[in-house]
Amino acid sequence: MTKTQEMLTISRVVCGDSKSFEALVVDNQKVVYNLALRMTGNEHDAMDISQEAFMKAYTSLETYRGDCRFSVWLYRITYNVCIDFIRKQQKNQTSPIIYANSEDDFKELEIPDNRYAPENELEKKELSNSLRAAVSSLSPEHREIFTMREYSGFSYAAISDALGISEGTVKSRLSRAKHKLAEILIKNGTFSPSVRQTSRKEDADI
Amino acid sequence: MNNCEKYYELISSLLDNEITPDEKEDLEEHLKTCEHCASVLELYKTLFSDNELVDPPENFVSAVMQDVSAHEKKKSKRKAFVKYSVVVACLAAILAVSVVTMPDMFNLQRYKDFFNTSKDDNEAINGRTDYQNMISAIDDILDEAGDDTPYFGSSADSSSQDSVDGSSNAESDSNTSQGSDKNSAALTDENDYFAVVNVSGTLPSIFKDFDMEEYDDGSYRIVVPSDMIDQIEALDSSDVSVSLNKSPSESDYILVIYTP
Repeated sequence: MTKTQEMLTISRVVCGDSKSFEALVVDNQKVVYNLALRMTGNEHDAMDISQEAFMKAYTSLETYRGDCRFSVWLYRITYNVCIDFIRKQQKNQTSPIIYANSEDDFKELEIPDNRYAPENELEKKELSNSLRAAVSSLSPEHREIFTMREYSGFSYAAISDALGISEGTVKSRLSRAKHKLAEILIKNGTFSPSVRQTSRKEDADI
Repeated sequence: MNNCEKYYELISSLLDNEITPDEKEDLEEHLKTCEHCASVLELYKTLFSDNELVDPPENFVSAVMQDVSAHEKKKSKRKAFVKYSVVVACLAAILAVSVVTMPDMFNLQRYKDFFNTSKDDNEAINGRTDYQNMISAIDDILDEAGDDTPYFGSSADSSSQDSVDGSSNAESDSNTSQGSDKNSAALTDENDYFAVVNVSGTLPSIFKDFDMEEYDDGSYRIVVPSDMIDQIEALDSSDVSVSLNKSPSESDYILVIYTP
């Protein structure tokens, strides 16, 4: 659906043709469902969140001004629903420590010697949970760009358009977000304890 | 940015399929010589390679649209409720205003009644005043004439008074007589009577109950109520001639001039 078609569909819905909303659901279901699924790690919760997000979008469609693509607007609604959901779940738990994040804080990675490769579903699930926890400790800037790309599958061009930044910035910011996540996961022991320090010096030696 | 940092970006772009051919060639060349970046590539593959979007459940769209439909139904019910609420509120307001203003309406009516009553009372009072004035005037006339005899006969005046004032027969004769005198005393001219009846010969029995006043020319004057006009006309005698002066509403008496 082009942006023009999207705007026409939205206009029809706003004017009372609720059935036209179905076209928007079909077009954006993957973005919403995958974001919810990655954020919660649970299909049932993902479904509930998706429905809530679509309903929020439907009821506040009049406020959509077309400044960004509908998918980005919907992504943000879904993301907020996910955050609310997670906060409710973690109500009595201590909030995660925010990992130091800044664009300049680009530390050397400690690559595990025996590389951790999840072989079964349980290990994959554990990694997924660890990754989710690590994402929540990213800075808002990194968290947004990472979830947009990794969870909802937005292209670099779409992210650039949505966030109003150049594709080059998208590329570097996303790379830094991934780097931070890898750092957190290595640091919290998700990978095997035997790690090998690598450095540019060693790299140079190699 | 150090050299490897640049390749972190390319590794990320490579895994996201957002790398250009030139960048890819550059990265491949670098990976041949940099074990660290090769390790980073492997690590990123492990951590971030599972980024393929999964398909939502088959009932996803229908579930969302059911929510939308349910929301619309609820909204229309709410609208209907609001609509009926407004109607009910309006009716309640009208009722409330009616209840509040009705006592006022009664009060107004009461005030109106009061004023009407007062007006009537005033009129009645004025009437009495006029009546008293009239009595005084008649008294003056009688005093001037030096005649103590009542102008009207008591029995005839009594009945005529009844018809004029609607006053009760229970009232005293003296009062009735006095009233009759006062009422008819104003009628000083023949033209002021409803009719003038000239009777000659034998006096018809219908006049016998009335008092007669004898005049110097030998005639008698009798004043009878105007509602006797039918009886008078029914006499059908050549000795009786009737001449109407005014309508009954303007004068309630008939003057009978009897010449034996």
